[in-house]
Amino acid sequence: MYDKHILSDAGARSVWENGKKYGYQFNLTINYYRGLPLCCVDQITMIIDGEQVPYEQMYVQHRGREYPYLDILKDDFPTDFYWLFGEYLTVVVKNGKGIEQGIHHCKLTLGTRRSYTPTMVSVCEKDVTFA
Amino acid sequence: MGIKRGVSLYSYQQEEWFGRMTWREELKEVATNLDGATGIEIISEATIPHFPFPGEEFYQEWNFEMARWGLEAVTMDVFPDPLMFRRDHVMNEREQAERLKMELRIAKKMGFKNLRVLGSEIKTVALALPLAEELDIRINQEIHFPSGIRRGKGQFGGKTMDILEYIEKTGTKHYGFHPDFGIFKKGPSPMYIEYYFRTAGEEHWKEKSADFIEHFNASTNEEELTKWVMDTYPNVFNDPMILEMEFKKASAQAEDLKLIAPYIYCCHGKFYQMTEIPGKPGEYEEVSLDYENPIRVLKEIGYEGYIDSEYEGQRNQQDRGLEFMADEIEEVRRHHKMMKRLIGE
Repeated sequence: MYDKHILSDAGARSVWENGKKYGYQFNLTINYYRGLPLCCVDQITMIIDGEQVPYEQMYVQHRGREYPYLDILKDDFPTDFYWLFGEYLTVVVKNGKGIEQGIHHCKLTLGTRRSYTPTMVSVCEKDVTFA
Repeated sequence: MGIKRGVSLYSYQQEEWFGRMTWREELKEVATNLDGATGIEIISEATIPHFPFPGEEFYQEWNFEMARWGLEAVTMDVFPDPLMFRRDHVMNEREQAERLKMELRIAKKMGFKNLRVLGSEIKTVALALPLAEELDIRINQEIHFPSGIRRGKGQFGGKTMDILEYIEKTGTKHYGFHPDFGIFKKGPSPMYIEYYFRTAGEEHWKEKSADFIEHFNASTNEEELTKWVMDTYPNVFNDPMILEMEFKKASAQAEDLKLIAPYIYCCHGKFYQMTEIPGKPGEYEEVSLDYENPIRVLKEIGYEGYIDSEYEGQRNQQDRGLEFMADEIEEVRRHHKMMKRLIGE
């Protein structure tokens, strides 16, 4: 659901700390008609210009908190942090150097686990402008 | 009294997803543009901010807005999500019942009279029933296509008769049914068929879809029809599930509603696309679903609850650009014109 639109152009840019670029970020919206707990995210895979973003560099920011991507996949991740319908989930990639400004070709795969259908996987492939 | 009209805010999901409407604007739309609709239904996890802990401020705002527009909180839809605790831990009945109780408490604070469940087993609901009785909220099993009404133990989608037996045995006033009009299927929805052709990469998808529907409606033999479809359009209908869903005729008959009459507390007016009736400008119909007979039967049995619009056509128009997306507001307005006509308001 909403497959073509789950990767947003809004907020795609490098991120800075103490005057230094340390990575970049992009925003996702949920591929469903309701919100789900973050622990129901089964997969976020991002390929930028043909190269897959390493999972260990990915961090998920949600309502002022940050979690390593690999942590939200673990069995003991809390079940009451909700990624709500229509809300942005920010993925920060800490690659130590940011991303070059301009257009990049992105392919995002998002898998979420639901209560009564098999895990649904959405793929969104598009050009995103990183500011 | 008679049948009342309401809207599930699920109908406006696309507006919400793209940030063009909030629940406040949706309430206003229902109260001001649907000519007498008074009911509101929500999915808790889609509408409630900061679910499951929205805070007192939200509850006050919600109750204020509902009162402001003179609306009634009819039903809150909930999901058990038994896989929430990861794959190797399917929630047991007690755990699912605790979640149901949490939703009941939220529903109470928002003024809802009904909770809609879909995947919850009788044993789970039974554990939450004492709280439902205390809060005076009914827990209603949705009867959703391809499930039916006249089905029991061991049959596909056959929970309805089992629940009826439980209700009659225990005499509970807080467990019931929520039929979804999607079970009264008449034929394929042109909008759906076009989507299948389009996403399979077929050119001339509009014409091919019309050809498919013509064959479908003319056919009396399901086997022959299946063979024709598989031979003619192997790239489009290669998924047995799609074939099954599109070829299956209605999973219930309107008269079946009489079997569960005293325990129907809410209905989903499911629809996919409202089109103008040829030769009758300003009058609309849903060509793929039977609305006339179920509404006639609901009137016969003296049903005085709500039929809540549940528009679901948006998802199969999202494969194209933004300019081709469905107009949810207009679709719901048309749906209410039709319901008003059939109810005879």
